[in-house]
Amino acid sequence: MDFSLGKEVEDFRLVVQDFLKPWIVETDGVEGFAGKAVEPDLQRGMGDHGWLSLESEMSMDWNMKMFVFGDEASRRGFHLSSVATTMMVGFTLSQVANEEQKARWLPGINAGQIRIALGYSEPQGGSDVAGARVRSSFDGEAWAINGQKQWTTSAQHADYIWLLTRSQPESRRHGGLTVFMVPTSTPGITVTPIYTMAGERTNAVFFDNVRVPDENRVGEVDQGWKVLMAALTYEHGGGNVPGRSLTGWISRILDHGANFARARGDEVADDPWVTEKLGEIAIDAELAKLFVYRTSWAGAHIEKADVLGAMAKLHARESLVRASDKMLQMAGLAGVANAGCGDLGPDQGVASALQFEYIDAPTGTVVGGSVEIQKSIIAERGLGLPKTRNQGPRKPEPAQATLERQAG
Amino acid sequence: MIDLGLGEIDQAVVEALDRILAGAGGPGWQVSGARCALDRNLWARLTDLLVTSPDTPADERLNLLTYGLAAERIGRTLVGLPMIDHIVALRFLEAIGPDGAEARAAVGRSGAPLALLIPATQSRDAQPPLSMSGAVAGSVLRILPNGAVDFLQGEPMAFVENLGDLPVGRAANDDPDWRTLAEVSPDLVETAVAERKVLIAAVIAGICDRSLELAVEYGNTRELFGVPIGSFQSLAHGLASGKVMTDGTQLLAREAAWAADDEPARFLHLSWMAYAYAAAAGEQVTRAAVHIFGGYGLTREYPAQAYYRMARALCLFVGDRRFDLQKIGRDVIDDTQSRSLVGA
Repeated sequence: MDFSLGKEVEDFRLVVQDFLKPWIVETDGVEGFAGKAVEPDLQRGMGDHGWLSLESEMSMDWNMKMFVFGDEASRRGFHLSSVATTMMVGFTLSQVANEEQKARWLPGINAGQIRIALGYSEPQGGSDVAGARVRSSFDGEAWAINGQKQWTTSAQHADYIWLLTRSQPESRRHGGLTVFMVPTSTPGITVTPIYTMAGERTNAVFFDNVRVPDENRVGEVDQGWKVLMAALTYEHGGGNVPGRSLTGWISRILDHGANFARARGDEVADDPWVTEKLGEIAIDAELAKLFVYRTSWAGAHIEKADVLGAMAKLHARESLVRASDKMLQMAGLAGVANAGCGDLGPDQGVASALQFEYIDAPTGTVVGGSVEIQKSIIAERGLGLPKTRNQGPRKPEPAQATLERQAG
Repeated sequence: MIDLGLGEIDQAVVEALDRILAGAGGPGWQVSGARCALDRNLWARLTDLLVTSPDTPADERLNLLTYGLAAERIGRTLVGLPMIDHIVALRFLEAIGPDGAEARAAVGRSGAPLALLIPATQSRDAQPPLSMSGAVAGSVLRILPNGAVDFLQGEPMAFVENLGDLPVGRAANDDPDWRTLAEVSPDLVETAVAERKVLIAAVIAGICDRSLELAVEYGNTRELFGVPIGSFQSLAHGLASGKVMTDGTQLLAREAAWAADDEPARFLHLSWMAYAYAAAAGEQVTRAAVHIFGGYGLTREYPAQAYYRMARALCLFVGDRRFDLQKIGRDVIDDTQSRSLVGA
């Protein structure tokens, strides 16, 4: 048993820190990402380093390096959602696309020159992916797509939308779905911003008779759920795509909290309540890392590990909410004033950063499948409890069973 | 590089231990009036498997990680719990070198557990009044925060009925036969306390694991309103959260135990983490498991309650988790755990 990353991966951490420097800005003493507008440049830079290669997806070495990349980037406030979604689609394409499609798209993804947004959620249902209603129909020459997607983060910078559509209007749930790679430059697409309470941008995307050639269809007609299953494996923990790392995000909150306590001096730093809360967050951060290690290790050595991935996500996301709440409480009134307002002293910058984390953390419990989805995955596939819709007990998934057997 | 699989020795020890525990007719002791009788046959089998000596070849010696894995199995079955303090105390005697050699030999001859008296983290007692395995012990090691190490041989301590149904004994701290073995550095005492925390955390990982299994079995078979109660999302999601805490306890305990040999600079910090997390998980997961059984869960005929009581009892011996959290938090503020952003 070994809980260390090894020298090569730890050395890679230093490379990543150098790589990220040009995109770090400091505001009121707090480091952060220079902004989403430069994410395409950063993505090309990653491609130049060969870090977006789709060939080594399940190697433990690559997985851990990408974990380190995400951990370092998120700890400095980078939200690389476009990199993450592009890689998830890239891995899926490398599995399910035909050879012509692979030749067309994969080199650009490897080079960081193609950005892809996920078109799953719709206004009537976020986590209920199989309830998709965006309509696709083939008229003999091309597919016509009509409807609306919602929460399509990074669509404003994306070259393609990985789009789940309903190709059989009478079908329900998992049948009659078809997946496309839709260029965002296609006429009829309108991207409209939606801002979260933390000021983070996501989008609604409208499709008004958007014409897509059949060669952009991925997988069989009406068999889109199979394609989705492959894609969701990556979203649910099959690999460490270098996006917004939850471990780095928790560490960032812990960094802010420790900085605030240090800035306030002994009055705060010696308060047992403060050290207890920092201790709790530090444990949550350590455990978030261990869950990622386990998911990656199982994915590399056994088989897909979506239950383990769900556990990693659930723990980290609930930790984020807990951590941001505790640290804002520590900041007290200094955390009330918005960034740049109030002029309350030298620790105002970090207190405002804690305020931001507090209003940003609930994002974590919603995006990429809500925490309730993760709990259902754990309960049904991991523990073997009946489906909540009463379809009878299920057996634990092989990866989980194997791990438990190994543990004796 | 990360490798979470069990090594050959670990696998062999865990499998052999499982066979012993499965064949045990009880927890390893039997209460009879005011005394506790040790199951000497079971104890002999456990010590044959788990106890090594300084003379054992290096490649056959068991390390803290292997003991942690064994502790998980002990936690699952609630059999052989006196082995935890026995191991911690023997490792301490070995760590103090020649001063501990004679006591180690005496423990080996006694064929009974070595009990441990070591103050709980927040204890106001200069000398702990109770030992978790004293009522079946043939000898006692007392380690005080000032570094005084004392040893006592003789009859087992008087049994004290207790929260966890453990063979708790009342310590005879003023017995004239106590022998002082050594005065040791606070570091050695702190290491022993940390090893105990890690092994208790591992026991709690096993306790949570078995509790959860019992709850899931019941959730799949017990029907209310015409459906298995495990199909109710509020219950299922509670158990899912319990699974995360259970696996979290196991991972943190294993990492800390691994660090004892492989990353010693982080060992103390990780031992506090493992214990602080386990203490909370033990209470929450076992309580959730008891709750699944409804009214039946409150009765002694159903086993879930035994895990609920045991998890809490063990932590009362070790100490209040808040003190561990405060030490971890202090480390974060002082940045002693290499959390600095290099080059930032």
